[in-house]
Amino acid sequence: MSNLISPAAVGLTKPLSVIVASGSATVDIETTFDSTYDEYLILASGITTDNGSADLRFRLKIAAAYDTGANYVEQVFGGESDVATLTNVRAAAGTYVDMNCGIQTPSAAAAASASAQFEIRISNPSDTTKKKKVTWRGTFFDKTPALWQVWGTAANTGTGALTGFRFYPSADNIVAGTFRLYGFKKT
Amino acid sequence: MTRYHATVDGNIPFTPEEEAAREAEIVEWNAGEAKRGALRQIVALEAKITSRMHREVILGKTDVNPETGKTAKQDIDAIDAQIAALRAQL
Repeated sequence: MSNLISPAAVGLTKPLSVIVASGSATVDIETTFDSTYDEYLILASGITTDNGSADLRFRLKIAAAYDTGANYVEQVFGGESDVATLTNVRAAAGTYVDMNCGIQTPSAAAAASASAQFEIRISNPSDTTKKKKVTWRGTFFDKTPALWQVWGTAANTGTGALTGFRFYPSADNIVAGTFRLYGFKKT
Repeated sequence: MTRYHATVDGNIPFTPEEEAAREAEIVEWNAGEAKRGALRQIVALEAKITSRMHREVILGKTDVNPETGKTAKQDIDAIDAQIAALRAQL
C-alpha cells in the first residue's frame, strides 16, 4: 500500500545500542540518552535470572549518577494466566523501581523454557525541568509456571537529565537477555 | 565472586563500595522471602472469593458448589481461615 510510512523514514530501524546480559549483576543502558531524540524505547527480551524468587528492578541515572536514594514512586498492575482478575497491584515509593510487583521472575533453574520480555518507554530524558517518568509493559512465565502480564509506571522525582537505565534483579544475576535502546526521530 | 555491570563497552566490575551495597540489598531481600510468599498466597486466596459467592451469602442461598461441596458461606469461611493462618505468619 502506498500510504504506509516506511520504517526507515520514522526511525526505529536500528537500535542505538545493544547489550547482551550474561551472568550480569546489572545491565546499564546509557548509549545514548541525549537530546537527539525526544522519545526512547527499550526492548528487552529473553531475560532469565538465576534466582527463581527474584524481581526485576531498575534505577535511573539522573544528573550523572545512578540514583540510589528514596526518590522513586511507582504503580504496577499484574495478572496471571490462571486467574481472571488482577492479582497484583502495587504502589510504592523507595530506592528503586520493582517491575514485577513482587512476583517471581523466571528462573533458569526452575523453568528452563521461561523468559521475560519488556517494552519500556522514556520521554525527554535530557529535559532538566521535569520529573523523569517511565512506562512499561511486559510478560513472562513464573516458576509455577504461570504466564503473567505486568504493566506499570514509575518516576524519579529528580529533574536532572536522565542518561542511563540500570536493570538488576533483587538477588543474584541476570543470566541472559538482550536489551536494545531505540530513539524515535523527532520529525 | 566479582559482580559485573553489563555495558555497551563490555563488563565493568563492581567497585568495593558497590559490592557492599549489593550484599546489603540481597540480605534485605532474602529476609523478606517468607513474608512475600505469604502475601502472594493471601492475594490468590482473596481472588477466589467471587461476586457470586457474595451474592449467594447476601441472599441467604444454600446452593452447594459442586466443585467444593460447600455453600458459598462455607467456602468463604474456609478461605478466610486460610487467610487468617497466613496473616499470622506476617
